[in-house]
Amino acid sequence: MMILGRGLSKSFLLHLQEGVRLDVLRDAGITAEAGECVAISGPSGAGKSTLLRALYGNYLVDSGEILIRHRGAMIDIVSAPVETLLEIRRETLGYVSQFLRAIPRVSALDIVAAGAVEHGMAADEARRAGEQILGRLGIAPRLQGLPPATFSGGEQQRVNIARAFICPWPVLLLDEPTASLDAANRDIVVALIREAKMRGAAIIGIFHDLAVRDAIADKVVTLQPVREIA
Amino acid sequence: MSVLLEARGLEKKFGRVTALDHVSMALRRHEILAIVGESGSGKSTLLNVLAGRLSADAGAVLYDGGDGLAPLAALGEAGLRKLQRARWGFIQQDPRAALRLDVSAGGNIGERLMAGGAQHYGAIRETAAKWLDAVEIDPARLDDLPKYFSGGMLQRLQIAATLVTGPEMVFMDEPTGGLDVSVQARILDLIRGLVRRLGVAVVIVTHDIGVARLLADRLIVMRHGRIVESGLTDQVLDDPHHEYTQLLVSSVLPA
Repeated sequence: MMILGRGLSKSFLLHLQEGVRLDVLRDAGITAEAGECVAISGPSGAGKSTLLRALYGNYLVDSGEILIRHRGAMIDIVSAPVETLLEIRRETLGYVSQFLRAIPRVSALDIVAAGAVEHGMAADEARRAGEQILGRLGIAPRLQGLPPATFSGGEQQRVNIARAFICPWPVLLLDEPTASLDAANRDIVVALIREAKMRGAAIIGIFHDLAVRDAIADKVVTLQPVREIA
Repeated sequence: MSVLLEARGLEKKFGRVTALDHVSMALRRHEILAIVGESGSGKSTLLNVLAGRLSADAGAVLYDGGDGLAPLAALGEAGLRKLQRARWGFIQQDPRAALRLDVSAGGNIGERLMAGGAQHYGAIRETAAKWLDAVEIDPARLDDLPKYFSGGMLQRLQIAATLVTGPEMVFMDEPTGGLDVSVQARILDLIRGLVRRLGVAVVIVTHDIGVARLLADRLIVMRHGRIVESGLTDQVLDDPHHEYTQLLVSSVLPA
């Protein structure tokens, strides 16, 4: 077992909208083994992205636990102190969001390499690995040195994907990794995911594209919307 | 990582205004902590008390200089000054207040090195030139007076003059406040690269949550002198729980 979430509930209390409470997850659970890819499915509003963000520690759940295998032990992300969570993200847990958060003045290559350096790769090695993965995803060397703020949506998404596959995270969370990609790039991402599974990565993802999902998912976890309580 | 600096139960009033209301927090080694809040939230007061530039009415600041946490107050005035000079740094919003404008750029950097015991003129000059380069100022301007520098260059010079001695902890008070947006981006990128590379612990006060997101590992949100929310930066900003944090996050205009 690489990652296990259980009894996960999450609501959002919107103080600025007259205190409306949105119940998004109720008693949700998910697990992934090494070398396994688990797809989260469900209708819009069922809490798929919320669950993925909770697994990354980006959203704080109201109850439940999220255990991840980190440095040989199972650690609960929900109750881990900030420095432990940051360490887990550096070493164990990778995440591809739907949108790239571009940083002013920082080139695509530097954005991609930075995560690998924090993961422990030497700077020059991370640069080479970054060039290679960006090249494989069709980002030409000419573009790699530019800040991605002006890139197209698909190019930005490929930079984002490169960040996830530049180094061997034991656990990977993917939020719609193929959403704005053409067929050729979609196939490359499918191949990258397969390779990650082969080396033993546990992958949990949201895949809107059913062909992609069928090609890589070993298991599907379906979420249903929780009824909202005002 | 061990705790480098800790505040316990800080209280501070200015007349009838409460600037710090029972504030406790800790900073770990190599950690970047941002304190956000609007004007009057007490964030700058907290920074100044942590840095030993202002004393609190009650509570204590503790620092681990290598022998465990001990109150700053126990160091005495001279001991505190020595610490601030040798192992800490402070970057102010207005670099004009921190730099000597009628002393050359190189002199401003060299001064701190000499205060730390450096004596060899050639070596000091060489280090100063290297640091000008690190903050993207042409080393050929080593002998120029900062009074002819732009605001962005002055801020970069202050950063060089602060980091040159390799401090273990740096306090920053709105380091990009008052600068053009394009200049801000350059300074933020510099700070981000340098502090990560040097492993400096940083406490940065900002009203700009974009700055906090870019730089900080951890975030403290202050209002009316109290800490209303704190935690991992992206978690607090993407999933804010407190009403005031929700207001702060939702008040930002998307670019």
